[in-house]
Amino acid sequence: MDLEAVIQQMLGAMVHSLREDAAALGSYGQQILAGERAALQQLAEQRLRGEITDEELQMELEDERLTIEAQMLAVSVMSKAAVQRASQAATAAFFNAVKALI
Amino acid sequence: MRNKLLGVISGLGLFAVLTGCISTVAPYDEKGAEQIVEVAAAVDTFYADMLATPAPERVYSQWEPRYREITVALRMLVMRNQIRPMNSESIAISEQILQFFERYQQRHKDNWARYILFDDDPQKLAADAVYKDALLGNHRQRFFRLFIAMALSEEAKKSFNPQQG
Repeated sequence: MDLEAVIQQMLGAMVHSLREDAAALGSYGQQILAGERAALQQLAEQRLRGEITDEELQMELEDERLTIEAQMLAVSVMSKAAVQRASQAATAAFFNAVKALI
Repeated sequence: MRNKLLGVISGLGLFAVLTGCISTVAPYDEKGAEQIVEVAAAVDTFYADMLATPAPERVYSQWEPRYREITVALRMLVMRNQIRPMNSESIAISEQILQFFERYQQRHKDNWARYILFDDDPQKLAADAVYKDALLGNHRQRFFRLFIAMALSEEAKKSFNPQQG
């Protein structure tokens, strides 16, 4: 059994899996930032136009803070799941390498 | 030498099996994912309908049945998340959505009560302040972003697929 080849296959599978998930994470991170920027800009404009009061602005800003926190929880799940999938990919690569020998 | 090689391979296999089998997130829930989209659609429709209604007609009592219906759907979403292990993030996101919805409902109710006060009452609110268009738009968009967060969290829980990997 070529141990080096097995290790390379496992590493390759992990990197491939992580690369795909990193792209999805990066894309969602951009989406969070764009959404937040639009929301804050909207709030500023609404206050300037007198559509909302100072008190309402404060409540909206607090809710925006809670919204970002919730979105960060989604990022946390995506990161944990990415690591888990990479491990599963490495396991699959290992079993495939062993199966090929049998 | 042969024994050493077998030891390394066994160790590698054990590592792969252990790390591959240890779960850090809940398993993917297909029906739960569908439920997220359904509740998101109900909330979005609710806000679209309210925005299409002229401000003086946003009578709280007329909207109360739909508030109640959506609150139940959101509570079921929280429950579905709570009964799954390793699911703390999705529980927190769904609870946050529920809290926002209940808080905005309470504000609508309180503002309506102030709108129907006598004209000379200093606490009286104008019709367009019961649930302002600006706030309705903000809240609709906020829920949209939160449901995306919850849907992506669920989607991320899909296991490694050898066909794709």
